[in-house]
Amino acid sequence: MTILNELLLVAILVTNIALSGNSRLKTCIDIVSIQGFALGLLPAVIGLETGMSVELVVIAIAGIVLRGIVFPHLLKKSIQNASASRELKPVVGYFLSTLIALALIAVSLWLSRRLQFLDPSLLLFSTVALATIFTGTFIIVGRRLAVMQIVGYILLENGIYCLGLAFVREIPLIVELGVLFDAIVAVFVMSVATNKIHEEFEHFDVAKLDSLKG
Amino acid sequence: MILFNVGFLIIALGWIPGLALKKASSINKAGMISTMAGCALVLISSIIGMSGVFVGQLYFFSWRMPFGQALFSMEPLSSFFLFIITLISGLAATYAPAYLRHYGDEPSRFKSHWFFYQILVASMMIVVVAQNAIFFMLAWELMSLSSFFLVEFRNEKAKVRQAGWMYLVFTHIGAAFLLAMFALLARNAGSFDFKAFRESAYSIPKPLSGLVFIFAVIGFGMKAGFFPAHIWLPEAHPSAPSHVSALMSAVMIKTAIYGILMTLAFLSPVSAWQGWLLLGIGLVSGVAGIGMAITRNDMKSLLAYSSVENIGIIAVGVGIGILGQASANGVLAFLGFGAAFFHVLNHSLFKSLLFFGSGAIQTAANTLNINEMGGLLKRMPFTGAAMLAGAAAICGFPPFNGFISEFLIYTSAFSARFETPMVRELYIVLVLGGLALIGALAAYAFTKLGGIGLLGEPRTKAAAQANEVVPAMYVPMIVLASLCLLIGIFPSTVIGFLEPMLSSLNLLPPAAVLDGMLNSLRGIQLSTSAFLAFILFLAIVRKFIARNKYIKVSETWGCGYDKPDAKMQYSSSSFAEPFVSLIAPLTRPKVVGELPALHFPKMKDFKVDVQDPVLDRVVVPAYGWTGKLFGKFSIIQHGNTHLYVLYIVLALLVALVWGLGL
Repeated sequence: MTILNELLLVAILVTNIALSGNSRLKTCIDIVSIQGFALGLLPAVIGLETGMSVELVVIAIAGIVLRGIVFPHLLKKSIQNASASRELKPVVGYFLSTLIALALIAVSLWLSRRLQFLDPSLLLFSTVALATIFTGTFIIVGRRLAVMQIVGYILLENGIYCLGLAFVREIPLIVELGVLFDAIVAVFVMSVATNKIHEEFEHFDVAKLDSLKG
Repeated sequence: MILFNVGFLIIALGWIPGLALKKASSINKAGMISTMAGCALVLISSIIGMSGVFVGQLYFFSWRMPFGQALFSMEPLSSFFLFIITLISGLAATYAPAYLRHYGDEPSRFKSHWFFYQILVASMMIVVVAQNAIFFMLAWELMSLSSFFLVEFRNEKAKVRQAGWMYLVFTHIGAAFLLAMFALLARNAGSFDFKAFRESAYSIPKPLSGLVFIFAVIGFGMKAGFFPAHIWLPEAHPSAPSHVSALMSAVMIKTAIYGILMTLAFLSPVSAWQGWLLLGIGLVSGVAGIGMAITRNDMKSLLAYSSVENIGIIAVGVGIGILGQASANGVLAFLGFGAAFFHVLNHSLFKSLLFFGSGAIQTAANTLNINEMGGLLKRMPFTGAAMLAGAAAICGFPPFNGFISEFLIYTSAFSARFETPMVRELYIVLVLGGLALIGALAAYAFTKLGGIGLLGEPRTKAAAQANEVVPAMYVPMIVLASLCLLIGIFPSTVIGFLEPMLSSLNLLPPAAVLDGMLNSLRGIQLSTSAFLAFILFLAIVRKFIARNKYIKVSETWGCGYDKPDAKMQYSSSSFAEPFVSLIAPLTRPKVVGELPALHFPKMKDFKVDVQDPVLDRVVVPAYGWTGKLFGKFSIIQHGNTHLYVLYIVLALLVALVWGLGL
C-alpha cells in the first residue's frame, strides 16, 4: 500500500462526505467527477505497485473517461434546462447528512475489521468501498431530486467497483468492462428519464411520484 | 391403458387445432370433436379398469417431476370416477357448441373457453389417477384454476368476476389445507408416493391421523361444498355457462369425494368419530343446502344449493361407511360406501341433466328466474320432460335412480349395531329423520322448479315465445334422463358393475348378505317395472277411451274463470313463502315493498330477497376483517420510493452486521 494509493482512497472518502453535505447540483456533479477520476486512477496505481499490464491500463483509461467525464457530462445535460439549481428541501438535512456519512464510515470500518478473510493491508480499501456504497444508498434515500438519485446510484456503482478491486485483485478485463458498460447504460437511461420527467411534470421531485399510486 | 393415454392426450391437446380457426362456430366444433373423441377412449378404458384388470399396476409419465415421479394407476376406484368424468364431460361437450352460439361470435373468447375446458377435463382425469402427492396437487391446482377461468367466461359482468374471486379464495384455502395434509403424511411415510402413504397407514400415531383426517375434510370440503364452505357454489354456478356448471357441479366437486375416500386408505384403521363427523357434516349440508334451495328463484342458484344437499347425502354415506368399518360391521360399511358411490354416479347424471335443461331454458326463454317462466313443458317438450325426469330423480322418487342410493342409506339405519342402545337409537333417528327431512324439502324445491317453471302458463312474453332447442342440446338430456330411469329400474345390475371396485376396497359383505341385498333390489326392480307397465297400460286405456271424443283444451289452472290470467298462478316466490317465513329467523329475508291490502288493491311491488346466512353473517364480515387486518400492513406499502430504498439499505446493513458482527 503506497502513499499514492492511500491518497486516492482518502480522496474518495472525502468526496463522499462532501457530497452528503452539499446542496448545489453543479457542485455535486463536480465532486462526482473528482471521485470518478480518483477511482479511475486506482487500477493504474495498483499497476505501479504490482507490475503494469495492458489490462490495467485499459481499465484505468475506461474508468477515467466514463466515471470522470462521461457520467458528469450526462448529468450536467440532464439539469441544463431544470428550474432548480440546488436541492432546497432534502429528506435529511445537510448537517445531519454529513454526520450520517461520518457514521457510515465508522460502520464500514467496523465491518471491514470483522471481515476475517480480508488481508489486513486492504483494510482501508474495503472501508472506503463499503462507505461509498452506503453513502450512495443514503443519498438515494435522503434526497428528493432525481439528479441526486442518479448521483447516489453512481456512488453505489463506484463502491461496488472499489470493493471488487479490494477483494479480487485480478478481475478479468471483460467482466470489468461489462460492469462499466452496465453502469453507463443505467446512467444514460436515468438521465433521459429525468429529462422526460422534468418536461412532463415541471419538476423532478421523486417524493411526488407516489401521486401515481392507485 | 393405451386407450387412456391416447384419450388423455387428445383431450389435453385438443384445443390446439382451434387456435388456427377463425370462425367461432368451427372453433366450437373442433373443441367438441376432440373432447368427445378423447372422452370416448378414456370411457372405454375406465370400463375396462373398473373390472379390476389394472389392479396393483403403476404407470408413470416420463417427466422429471420434483419430489418423485408422475405416477398413476387405474385402480377400480379411479376408473369409477374416470367413468363419470368422461361420460359427463363428453355429453357436456356435445351440448356446448349449440349453447355457446348464444354468446356472440368473438373467436378469441371461444378459443380460451375450449382451452380451459379441456385442461379442466384432463386435470380432473389426472386427479383421480395420480399416485403421487405432488402430482396430485399439481393436477388439483390446475383443475381449480381452469375452472376459475371457465366461471369467468362472461367476465365483463361485475357479478361474474366477484363470483369467480370467491371461488378462487375458497379453493385456495382448501388447497392450503391439502398441502399441509400431504406434508404431514409425507413426513410420516418418508415419501410423497401414495403407495408409501398406504404402506405406512398403520404406523401413523392416532393424534396425527386425526389431524390428517380433519385437514382432509376441510381441504376437500372446500371443493366439495360442505356446509359452511358451500358459499362459492351458488355464486359460481349461476355465473358460469350451463355446461360448465354441469361439469363443475356434477363432476368436479366429486373429485373432492374421491379425495376423501383416497385419504381414508392412508389412515386405516379409521375411528368412529370420523364417521360421526362426516355424518353430521353431511346432514347439516343436506338440510341447509336444500333449505336454501327452496328460497332461490334463480334456477341455477337453486340447482347449486341442491348440489350442496346431494354432496351432503354422499357425505352421510361415507360417514356411515366409516362407522361400519370402525365397528367392524361389514354390512354397514358396504351399505354406506355403496350408497355413496351410487349417489356420486346418480347425482352426476341428474345434476348435469338439470343444468343442461336450465341452460336450454336460458337460451330459449332468455331468463333463469323461475318467476318469469311457466308453461315451458308445452313449448319445449323434450327439454321439459327430461327436466321433470331429472327433478323426480333428484328427489329420490322411484322409478328413478335417486331412490336407490337413498334406499341403501335408509337400509343402513336398520343394520347398525353399536355397543350402547343409546348410540344406536341416536344413529337411527339422525339417519332416518335427517334423510326424510332432506327428501321432503327436496320434493318441495323441485316441485317449485318443475311446477312453477315448466307447468302452468307463461308469465312473460319471452317465456311464451320460447321454442324447443336444437337436438344437439336436448339429446344429451334425453340420454341422461334415460340413464337415470335405467339405473332406477335395474339397480342390481349396477351393483354388479360396482362389485370389483367394492371388493378391491374390501367392502363386499358376506355372500349371504349381499344376496339378500340384491334380492331386495330385484324386488324394487320388479315393482318399478310393474308400476311403469301399469302407467303405460293406463295411458293406452285413456287413449282408447278418448278416441273419437270431443276434447276441450283450456288454460292450465284456469279454475273455471272466464278470463284466466297468468298472474293468478302461484309464482315461484309465493310457492316458497311458507318455508321462507318459517326459516325467517335464521335468514332474515330482506323485504322490499308491501303486500296489497283491502279490497280493490292498487298495483304494488313486492319482493323478498333471502340471503344466505353464512354469506351474510360469516363470509362477508370475515372478508371485511381480513381486509382491515392486512390493510394495516399498507403502512409499509405507502408508495414513497425513498422509504422503499431505505428498507433495502437497512436490510443490507442488518444482514452485514448480523453476518459479520455476531
